[in-house]
Amino acid sequence: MEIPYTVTARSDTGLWNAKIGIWLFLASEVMLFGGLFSSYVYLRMGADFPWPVHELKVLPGFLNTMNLIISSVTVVFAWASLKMRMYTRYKICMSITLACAVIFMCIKAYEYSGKFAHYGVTLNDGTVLEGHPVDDLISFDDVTAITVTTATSDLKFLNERDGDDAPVMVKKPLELDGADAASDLPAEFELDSGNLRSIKKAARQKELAAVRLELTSAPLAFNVHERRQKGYNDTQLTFRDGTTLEGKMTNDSIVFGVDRIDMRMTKDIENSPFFGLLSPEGESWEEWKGKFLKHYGSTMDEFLREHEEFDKAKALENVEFQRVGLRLATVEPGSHHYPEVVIPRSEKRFYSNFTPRYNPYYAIYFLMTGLHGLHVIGGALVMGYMLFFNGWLYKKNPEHLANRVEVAGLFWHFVDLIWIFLFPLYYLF
Amino acid sequence: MASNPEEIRKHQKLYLFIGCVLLIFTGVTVLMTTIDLGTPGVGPSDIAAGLAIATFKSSLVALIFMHLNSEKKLIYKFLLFTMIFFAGMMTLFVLAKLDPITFSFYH
Amino acid sequence: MDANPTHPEAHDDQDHHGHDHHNPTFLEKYVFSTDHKVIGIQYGISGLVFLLFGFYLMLVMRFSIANPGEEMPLVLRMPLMPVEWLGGILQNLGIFDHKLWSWDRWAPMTALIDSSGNPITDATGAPVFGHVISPDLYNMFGAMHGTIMVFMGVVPLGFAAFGNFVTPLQIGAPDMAFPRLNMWSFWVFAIGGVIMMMSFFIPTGAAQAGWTNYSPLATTLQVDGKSIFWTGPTQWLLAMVFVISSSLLGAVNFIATIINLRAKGMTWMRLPFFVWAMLVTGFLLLLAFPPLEVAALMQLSDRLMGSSFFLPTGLTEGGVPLDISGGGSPILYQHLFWFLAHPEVYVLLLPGIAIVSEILPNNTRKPLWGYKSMVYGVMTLGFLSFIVWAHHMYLTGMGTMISTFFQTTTVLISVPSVILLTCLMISLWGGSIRFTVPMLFATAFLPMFGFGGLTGLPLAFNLIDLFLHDTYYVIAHFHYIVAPGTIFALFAGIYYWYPKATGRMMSNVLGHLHFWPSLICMNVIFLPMFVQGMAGFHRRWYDGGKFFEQISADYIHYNDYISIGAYGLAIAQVFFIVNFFGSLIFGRKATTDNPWQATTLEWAAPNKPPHGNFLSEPVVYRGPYEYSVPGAERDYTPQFEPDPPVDPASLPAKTPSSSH
Ligand code: HEM
Ligand SMILES: [Cu+2]
Repeated sequence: MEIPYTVTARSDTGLWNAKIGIWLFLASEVMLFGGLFSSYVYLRMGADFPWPVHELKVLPGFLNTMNLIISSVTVVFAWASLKMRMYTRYKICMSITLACAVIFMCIKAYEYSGKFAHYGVTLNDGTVLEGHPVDDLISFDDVTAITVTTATSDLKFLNERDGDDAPVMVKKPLELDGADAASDLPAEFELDSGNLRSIKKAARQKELAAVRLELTSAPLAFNVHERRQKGYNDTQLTFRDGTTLEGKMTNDSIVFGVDRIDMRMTKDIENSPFFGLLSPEGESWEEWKGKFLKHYGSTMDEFLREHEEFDKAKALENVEFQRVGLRLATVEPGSHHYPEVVIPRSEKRFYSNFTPRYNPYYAIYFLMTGLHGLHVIGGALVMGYMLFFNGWLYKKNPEHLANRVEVAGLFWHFVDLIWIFLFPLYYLF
Repeated sequence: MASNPEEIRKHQKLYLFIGCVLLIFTGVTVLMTTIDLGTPGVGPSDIAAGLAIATFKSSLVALIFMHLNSEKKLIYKFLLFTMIFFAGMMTLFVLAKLDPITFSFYH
Repeated sequence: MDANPTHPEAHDDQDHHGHDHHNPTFLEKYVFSTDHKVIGIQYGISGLVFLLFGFYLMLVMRFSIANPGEEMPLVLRMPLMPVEWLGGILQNLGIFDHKLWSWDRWAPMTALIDSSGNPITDATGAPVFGHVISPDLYNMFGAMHGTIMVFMGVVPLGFAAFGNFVTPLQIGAPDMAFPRLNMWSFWVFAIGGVIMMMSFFIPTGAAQAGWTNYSPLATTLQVDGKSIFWTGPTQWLLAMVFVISSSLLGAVNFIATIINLRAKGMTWMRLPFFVWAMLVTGFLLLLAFPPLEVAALMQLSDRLMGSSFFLPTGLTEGGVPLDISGGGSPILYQHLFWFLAHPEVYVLLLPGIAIVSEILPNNTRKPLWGYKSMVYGVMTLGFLSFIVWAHHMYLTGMGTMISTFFQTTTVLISVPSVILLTCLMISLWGGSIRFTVPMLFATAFLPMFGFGGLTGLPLAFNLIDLFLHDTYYVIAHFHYIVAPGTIFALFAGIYYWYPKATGRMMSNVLGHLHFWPSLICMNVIFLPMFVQGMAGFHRRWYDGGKFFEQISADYIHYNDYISIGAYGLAIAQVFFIVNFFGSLIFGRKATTDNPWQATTLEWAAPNKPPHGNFLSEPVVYRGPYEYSVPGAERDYTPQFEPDPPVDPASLPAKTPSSSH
């Protein structure tokens, strides 16, 4: 059985099947990215935080735009070469296209990794500090007892342990007496996955939700990532999986190297507690604060002189002033010496690196560019396949291969077309 | 869409030319953000101008590279409806956002 | 993307088959088949199984509503016993935790209380324990009932199964335009289905936030614990991404097939209405599903990566601020969701109308009335269905201006719906109706769909909807369309095309035994819901309103009748199941390829059509519904029958017999 019109066009519609297929697919892609663009507009219009503008470096985006445009030209040429039966030129054009795709993804990876390494802390008064954490772990020492839950606990929490990897020895809990699964446990045993399983099994037999284990080895110290914990106080820390440590919280402040201070959402700039944060740099810090406030104040005065219709509160809401204010706050551009502040966690409202978690701007940035990147990868795979594995088809029916390349090309142009919109939306405004 | 080799050969120059136009206009958009268009900073006019250039560029891609300048009627039909629905979605989202209950109450 | 360029092997294989006819293995023929008929049947059977399962979930919920806090009877617990048994084995093997598989987790052994809240005791005064449906179980089953019925039951059965099996036959194509892609759509759907079902067995259980999965509830539900990935809502989203992708691939395939593979002579206006409806449905899926895919990806990101697409600033849970950035919008989710989900309700409906409009002319022996207006009607319907979605969101705080816009479009959309229904009703007029079993179901569809549609109209108005939103009235409205409407039509379709697929007829007697109780029970179930809804009964009450006795007292006893109707409906389906499988073996053999004396092209193919469908290339000579053509020899003139050579002598003779 043959499906008709796979290579030649049907006379009344003038189209072959795959051509209809790809255009339908692209129509649905328009709606997919249409949904994303609409969401972008919706989120940006509704944002109750200053929507980041000029947040991304223009150069990589610019290079990638050029890159995709060049690849669009080469892919048309690949198709044209096939139509003219110039196979070698087709191969060259296709290879350039693929190379462009690879370069595109490399630049993307470079951009993404830069974002992942960058952090922001929002203080309770709305001030946002951006920069790089020097030390942001929660230190928890003198741990003498651990409670594991029967439902979820695992041993991953031990990865957060500070110091040597000597085995953790615990006492057999009295509550487990009489449960079959605990019968082969010695009075004192090592906490490993096999034993943990027996403990959980025994606890379940006795219908216990959790079991408390006392350490017989020396007390443990932990440095816990904020994301791994579910809650803590001075004497207890609970991990996401429900494992609870008993001990002493020794330090939970974030030592943070600041490279930008954003005070657009700060309620009362002159009296922000930010200025009161302890600084290891003493003198220079005071000096810096003075400079900051002075600079900020004079910009404000100048702005108010220029725009008589504004008062101070209104100026703070003005886009232009915000941009200037923000730029102002950037600490000495180009300097690698950032002021370091120590932020107690009680002062912080939100802390994250520049991932989708950071704010809806980054969320939709990563979603749209990520999805676009997946399209690039998909297109590259298809074209790579045609380049390397479809030689036989050229010999058999060159027109068929040309059709395939046309279909892949249509997809590739569409990917380029989306990027043409993504570039200004994210990099330019 | 051209399908015989002779016509395609002639079209190659056009493809190259369009590629150059696209590259140049990319440069233009980037330059534009450094010039103020009436409003300071990134204002509506900058966004409008940026989007206009992007629309222009993407229409070139669609018309020339994707051969939409001479495609079959059927495909225009699909795309027409798709564009209507996309535009409808975008517009209605925006209108719904602009018109929360308090807004129409006071206006 | 489409199959041919990405999967050149497809072409390879076909060539291969063409040349040396090697016998396909069992796997190739029945499992990873590229034959549209096999795929259609695969979709059909999975759809039916999901429908049955969704129905079971509903029975459990109905029990909780009518008898809150009471012990579940054994029959209701039975279906899950094999699962528990399997869980026991897995536990003994040390593979799984038995608790996960155990019914007790959700329907715990709890002290029973009587209707006034006092503990029930046995003769010795000790409390009696029983399996009692927990609110969590109710929520879970409710959410999964909706999801399974809509996305994994009706759409796969209506659109994918009938569309796959019937469409290529009706247009005279050897197969779908992209057979391999077709196979992939099914298997992607199957993966989605498996994930969805698996989510019942993960520690948190399946999703519980309703079939609409609204944020923020769906985002913040079950997020603590070791892994957010292995939670109900996350798995729900993941499954949806698969199901959506499958529908998109399917839609591309359907549309391309209808456009490019029509047989010779099959012009647009000779297409059976079924094909038109499938074409429009295809476009609805193609263009409306992507925004839901966006919503699903965003919600996944919110859950897994902690982003705040749908979470507003300052969101707290139990008084504790959540550790999120905020700044997003829950209403954005609703826009994206309903942008799909309103067109989706027409995806549920149109296959029903499509099937009915094939069966009606066949059994009235009379052309479909107003074929052209139906075609334009269905296109208008498809178009308008994209701009009415926010009528589901009147209570979200949209302004009155935008609400008025959506109110207007919603009222407008009832015009094409009414056109379709009217044409179908008029088609009955003056026909010599044969009440075959498919016809019974098709006829019942008309008033039932009418009920559902007309009760939608009041909902379209802001002011009335403020009162009726989220009540049982809405539940009754759409169930009238989907349950006694679409599902009846789907049954009709199964009875109608069964001989084509299997070569045997389904039993008439069992068919009647299936139809009449179903019709009665459907109405016993859904009519009282209108009354309850107008009396203020809110949907999603796990105790059916007992907690709000002061307002629900007058109508709460309706719950009992409704539940009895539901059990009756369950019993009626037994006849169908027996009929469906029994007829495979015991059914009367269809004596011809065209047992219903129908006119459309699928009846030109042999029963159980071979790979490639037609024995010789079909040619179409006329429109799809030429029944009782004056002067014709029989009361039907198939599309594939050439005009007889004109014999002037026979022209004046009008009756079929005299023209012989
Ligand atoms: C005749 C035209 C129709 C009109 C004017 C109409 C109107 C409405 C309105 C305004 C609502 C929202 C009620 C509320 O939530 O407060 C609604 C809900 C609903 N309608 Fe319709 N409808 C129509 C036809 C249909 C059809 C053909 C279906 C097909 C299945 C359908 C399925 C649904 C569903 C599933 C819901 C409830 C969704 C939910 O909240 O879970 N409707 N309808
Ligand atoms: Cu609706």
